[in-house]
Amino acid sequence: MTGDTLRRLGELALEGLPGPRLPGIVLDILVRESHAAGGLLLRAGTVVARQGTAGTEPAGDEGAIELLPGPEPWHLRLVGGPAPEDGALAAARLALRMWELGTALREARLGERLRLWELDAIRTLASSIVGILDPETLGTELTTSLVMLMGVRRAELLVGGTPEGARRVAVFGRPPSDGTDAAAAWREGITTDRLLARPLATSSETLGLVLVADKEARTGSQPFSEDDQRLLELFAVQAAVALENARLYRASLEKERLDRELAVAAEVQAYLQPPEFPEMAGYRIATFRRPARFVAGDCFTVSPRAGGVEVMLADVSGKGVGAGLLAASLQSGARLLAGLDEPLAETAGRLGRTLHETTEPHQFATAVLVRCGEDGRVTFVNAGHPPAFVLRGDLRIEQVDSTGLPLGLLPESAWTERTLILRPGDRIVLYTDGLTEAEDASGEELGIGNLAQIVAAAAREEGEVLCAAVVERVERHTGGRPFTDDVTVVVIERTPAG
Amino acid sequence: MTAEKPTPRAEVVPGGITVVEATDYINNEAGQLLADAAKAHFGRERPVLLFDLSATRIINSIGVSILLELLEDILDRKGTMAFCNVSPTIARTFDIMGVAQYARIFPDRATALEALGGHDG
Repeated sequence: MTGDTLRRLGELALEGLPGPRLPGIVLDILVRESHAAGGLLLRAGTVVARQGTAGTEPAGDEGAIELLPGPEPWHLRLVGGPAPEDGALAAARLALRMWELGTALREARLGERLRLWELDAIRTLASSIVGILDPETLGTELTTSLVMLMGVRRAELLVGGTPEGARRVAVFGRPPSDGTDAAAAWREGITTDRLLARPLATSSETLGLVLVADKEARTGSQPFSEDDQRLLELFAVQAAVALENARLYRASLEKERLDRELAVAAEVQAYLQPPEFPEMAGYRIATFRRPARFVAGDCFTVSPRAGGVEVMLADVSGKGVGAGLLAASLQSGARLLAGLDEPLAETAGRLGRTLHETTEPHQFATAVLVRCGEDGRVTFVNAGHPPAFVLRGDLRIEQVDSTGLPLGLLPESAWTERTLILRPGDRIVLYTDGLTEAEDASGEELGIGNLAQIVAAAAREEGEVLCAAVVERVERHTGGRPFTDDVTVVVIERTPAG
Repeated sequence: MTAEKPTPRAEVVPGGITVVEATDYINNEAGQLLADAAKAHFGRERPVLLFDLSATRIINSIGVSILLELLEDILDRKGTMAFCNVSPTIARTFDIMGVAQYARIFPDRATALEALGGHDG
């Protein structure tokens, strides 16, 4: 053996990270050292390097020199030459062992970097999902990450609570969901060698399904590992969070839009019911309104007329926007009809018919219509509304009870009119059932009798102060809890000038 | 989004640089075809190889490992491996996987060829 051979093999062994060509170089040195015509270097029976005339030699380690023992033993087969000297073989063993260690180290580093890549992808997805609001973008991000990290040929994201209602938002390759047991996948996921499916689940519902199929090996494909399952589950959690975020954000936008619309509706309704009224000879109007929601089902109209005024206070069945729209319609009708100067009972009839024809059968309105004349003559029609109070100057209270059914309850209905004389200083107090049905802590409603006492107790106040005093006293009854229904008070006062 | 059949194109430009145009998705098959196309042009001791990734959107873990092996082979031959037109996602991947540690990355082909001492034919 030449010193040169030993030196070259030693240098190979001592290289920091021997390259992939090292086995070939070792074989080349050994073939030259033995003056052989060629040779094979085998690892676990597989040819790792060929040299010279050994190109046609069959693989396998039978009859070969064992270079390194172990689970994947190394063998040398030389063609047409003696075995190398022990020193050369020992140097070759050292070089190959170092090559093995270097390879193992590289693979370990590669594995470590792959874990880092996974973490980075998850972190990137987690940080970017805050801004992802559409499932398609999320799906593309997710499937791309899965294809890259897991080395799969196919990936897919479906969004929806059930297989039947699901929609494909991203797919790479042929859809993995084709031909799978959709119900099982949605329920608990699927784990096979070739397919993984995981539901995108929150604590309360399933938002979709992520699937991957056909994991690649260096050549062909390989079964999914437990690490693959763990990785897909991590991604499924991230995707579920992203979808939930997007859903909540959309819901928040929708609520914001509705709130804006309701605020506009409330503004329009407030405009239709101004807090102040023009000067009217003989009468003064004061009002108080507090909707239980943005838009109230209570409404009133004040229509000045020659020497007097016509007032309607109504309470539409239901609450919220629907009731508010109906109230606005009723207001418009009352205003138009106030100018016709027809009997008040006929006005009620027209309003009732229109309401019945244009609304659902269960919708109606209670209303009290009051026409105050120049001479103090006051006509009432009370369509199923709580009694109006007439507060005399000497603080006595009279009641004007219902004179017919609520408006719109039946296609045709009749109301009687009630007439009385209002003297200067006398007042009419109209209100809605938000006051009489206000409950105390034990659930007891205030009732008409108690409200009458409250009105009597506050009778020394005037105008808006009287309205507020009545409401304040009712609030004492509720113990300060907010009213659950709309509350409206209208006070019509006959002034001395009249 | 679909996986395309990989068909890499390789040529040696003046200056002896082998330029390989990679396909949409670098996986096991496409990666091996890339490596084979590159190795077919290893005509000298110090090969210089430039991968143009302008058409590449995705590279998977096996594709990366094939490129790392090729990189190791080239470094073993005292050669140079470089990339150009790399998407931000793939650049990040190369950074994490250690490819960028040993390979050179250029924004475009012209810059790469100039830096590597070659030019488009």
